[in-house]
Amino acid sequence: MAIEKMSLIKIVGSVEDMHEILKKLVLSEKMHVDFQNAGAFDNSYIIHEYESEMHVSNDYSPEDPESVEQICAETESRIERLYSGLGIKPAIDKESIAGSYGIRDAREDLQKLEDELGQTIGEVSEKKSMIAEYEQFKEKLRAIKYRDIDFDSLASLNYFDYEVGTLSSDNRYSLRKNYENISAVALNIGTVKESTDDMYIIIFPKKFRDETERLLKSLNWDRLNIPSGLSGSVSNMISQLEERIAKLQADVSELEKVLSDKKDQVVKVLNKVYSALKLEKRILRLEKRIDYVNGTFVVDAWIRKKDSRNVHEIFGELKNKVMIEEKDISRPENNVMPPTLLRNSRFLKPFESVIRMYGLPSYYEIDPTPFFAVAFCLMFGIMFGDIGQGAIYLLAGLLLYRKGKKVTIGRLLIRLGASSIVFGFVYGSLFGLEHSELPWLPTLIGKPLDPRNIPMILIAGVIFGTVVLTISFVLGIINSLRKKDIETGIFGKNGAAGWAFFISLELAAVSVTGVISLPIAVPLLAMLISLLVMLAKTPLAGLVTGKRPLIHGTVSSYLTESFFEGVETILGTLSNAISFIRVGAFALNHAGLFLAFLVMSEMTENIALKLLILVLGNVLILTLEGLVVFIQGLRLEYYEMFSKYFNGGGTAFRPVTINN
Amino acid sequence: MNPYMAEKAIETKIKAKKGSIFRTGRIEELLACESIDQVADFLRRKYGLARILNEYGSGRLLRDDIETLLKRYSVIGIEDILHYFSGPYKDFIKVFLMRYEITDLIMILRRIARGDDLDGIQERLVHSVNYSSLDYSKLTSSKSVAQFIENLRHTPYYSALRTVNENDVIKREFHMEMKLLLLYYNTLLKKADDLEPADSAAARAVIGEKIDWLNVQWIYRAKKFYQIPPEQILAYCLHGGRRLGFGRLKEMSYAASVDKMIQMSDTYLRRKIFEGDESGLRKRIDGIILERLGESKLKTPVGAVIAYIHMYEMIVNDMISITEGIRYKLPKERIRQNLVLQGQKAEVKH
Repeated sequence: MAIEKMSLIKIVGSVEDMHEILKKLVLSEKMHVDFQNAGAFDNSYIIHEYESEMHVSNDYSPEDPESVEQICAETESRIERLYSGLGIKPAIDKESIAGSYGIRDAREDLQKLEDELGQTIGEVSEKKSMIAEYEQFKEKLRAIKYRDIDFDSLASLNYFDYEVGTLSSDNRYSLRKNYENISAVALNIGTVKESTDDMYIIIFPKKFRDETERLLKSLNWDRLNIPSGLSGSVSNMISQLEERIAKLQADVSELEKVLSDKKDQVVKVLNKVYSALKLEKRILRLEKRIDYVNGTFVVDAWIRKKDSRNVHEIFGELKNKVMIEEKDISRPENNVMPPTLLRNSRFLKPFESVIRMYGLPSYYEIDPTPFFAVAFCLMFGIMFGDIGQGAIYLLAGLLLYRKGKKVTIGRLLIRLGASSIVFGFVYGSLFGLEHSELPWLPTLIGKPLDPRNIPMILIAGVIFGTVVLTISFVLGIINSLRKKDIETGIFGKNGAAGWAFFISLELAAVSVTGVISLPIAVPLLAMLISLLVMLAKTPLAGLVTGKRPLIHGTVSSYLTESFFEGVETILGTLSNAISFIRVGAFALNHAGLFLAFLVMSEMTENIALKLLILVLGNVLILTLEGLVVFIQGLRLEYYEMFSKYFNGGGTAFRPVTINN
Repeated sequence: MNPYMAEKAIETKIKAKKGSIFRTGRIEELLACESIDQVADFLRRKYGLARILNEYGSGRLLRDDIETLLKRYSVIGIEDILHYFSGPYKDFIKVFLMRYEITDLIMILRRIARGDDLDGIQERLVHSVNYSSLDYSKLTSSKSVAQFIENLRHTPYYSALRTVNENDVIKREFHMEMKLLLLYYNTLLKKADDLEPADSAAARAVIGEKIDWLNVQWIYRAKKFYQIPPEQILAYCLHGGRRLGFGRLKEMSYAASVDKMIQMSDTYLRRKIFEGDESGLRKRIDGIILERLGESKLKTPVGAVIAYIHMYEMIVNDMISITEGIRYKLPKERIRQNLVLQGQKAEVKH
């Protein structure tokens, strides 16, 4: 239940071996390469160390990345052709490429596969495209109204030529309106389905061919090219086409059967080739970003501390080629921020996604997940306590989880549903019906709307708020002190002074209401002192740390700024204290909303109608109110609590993999 | 109140623009520049072009760079206005961005047809990045005109260009230009039909005016310079003109001589635009359109926006002319003669 501990490793090697080293890096899937912080640590020492211990060749000239890219692109299109021809989806097989198998071997294997299957696949795709072309042509022929037009007779005319094609409506208009000036006969012979284009046959004297062609071009004439071998009338052509299509389809089925028989045998090799290609592309992308000097390169990568041994073992095989230096960055150094990987139990895991919606914690922050999860479940349970409705959420969550769809939402629903059930027993509520309707139902405190319970529930909300806000302040103070930020952690409005002000304000309210006998002057004095401390936070922090000047800018501007900050602090603290009343208020609202439906159901004697009203009430509560309570809980977490201790701004730990 | 447009916001936006780009004094200040560097510096300071200029880094701007970024400035002018529209109104205004897509398509096609290197062409593209759905990286990787056109399949441009080949692009450039213009104006007119009747009428009036003048220019050039047969001239004419219907276009296309055609144009359009030198033709036509933009029938919010877009385009064209003039060190008076807005009060009359 924390943020995973990280180590920085520096991988140094010769450019000549870079490809081999990066292959290990990618296949291990354990290293997050950091290009942003590359300049934060001085690498010259480790480069010198490497150069003194290993032989570095300055003569090596790496392959031109653009030509490698071209090879990859060409290979990829060939692989895709095979995959699509075989009708299977590409898959990565990491184990198969772990050894010395590289892109050259992959291309050789690919060539063998193509030799074996390429011709058949090519034939299939060629025949399929011919089928598509014939189908398209057939559609156009079907659009011709005059099925007895004989194209052979037209083609055998001595002095006239003809063209068949389509014209759009605009161009049709231009042709029709200027018909008397055109040395051709244009005959409308049909309309193409699902378009506004009309089919025309144009007959013109052979000597006007060029002129007619230019005119047709100006009209965006789309000529119908009759496939070779077709002859006779339109009807004849359609039946000839149908025969051709049927034959092609039979050929395709036969060829596909041949491919299908070989599929199992080649899929393993094809996946291996594909994996090698993907790996090569990944390495290429890394190589393009890595800088090197005098034939030596350095890569900074983050690893989980617990993977350290494993990573050293991985590179152990290349011990004469690579040098690994591990650096412990347990404290903030050189402004370098390690990436964040949250490590939480199964119970807490789904809440990480809700936290990520706000931001990912930075490496040196406390992981907010455990506190968030507990507080959120409690708030949801208090505001939405019902055994039956909670059980519906739980079941819905289980269903989503089992189906493997929206798993995170499912797992969240299971937890929130369980919390709702627990508080359902506290209030004694089952689908809104309470102890008065179901006397056998166990209850701890009785229904929320009981006049004796209302003040208690509202006060419980405020007390709950005080506790969670106090924890938030403590977490915030720890986070600030970790960053050595005394100004925020001790003297700031979210630090110790802020907490003192908040508690004093609550004590003042308690004192005024006479719940405890405390002279009002005590909390008021504490409020005044803590407020003054907050206003003077910058000079006070300067005095403690010895940093000068105590005030940046002019005193007057500092005082003006502090004054407004003070007003904002007072308002913010008041709002913090009152905000959590909503936890209690929503518990009452939940009971009240169902009460309205219960009263409505009691107004009718019809049992079916009664049931319908109660079911409708429950549906409304489960959908609308459930959502409102979720949002309110989220609001309290994000706005009231996170603002005290959570900054976010972390970078996710993303180890390099073949795909990522 | 029209639910598809924020009328007050548009009015305010246009007024604000009057205070910046349409201010008469600005053109004078630009004219006072002595070098391309000074022009670049002026644009950077006075026209808020920093966000576009950043793409060029801090290096020197050449004349072509300035032309590109000024055209992008026009695109941004339209994009800024688009925020205030929705539904059919937004669809209509979006069509004005097609002009810039067409500019890019023609430029890419020319380079491909001539076998020129396409390196660096991305920097010369002016289309709206936010609203264009064309895949420019695919288009600019085309190796031939046929491949380029195939890459346009499933876009509105495909049907307009499907018959174009290498030879057309090089020797019959007008073919693709006129087909693309036809597509652009047809789309504009089609989208204008979806507007409220008053707005639709205002839109059709301006677009019709533009179409008339484009047709006159086309017929004139086709007869005088290209010697194209009349039936082809007519086939390339745009439809939807205000005063030049099919019958008049046919008469002009089949006119026995260029002079006869000019006489017809003077009669039908009641303006003598062919008086004066050839190079001033565009300026004279733009001047007439500018006059028309102030007509009372255009005084609808959509009319105001169309007027604004045209004004914006004209002023940017003037700025490009000035940059060109400064690049070739032409006398200021000579540059001034080519400006459309010279002598006009540079503001949208709404």
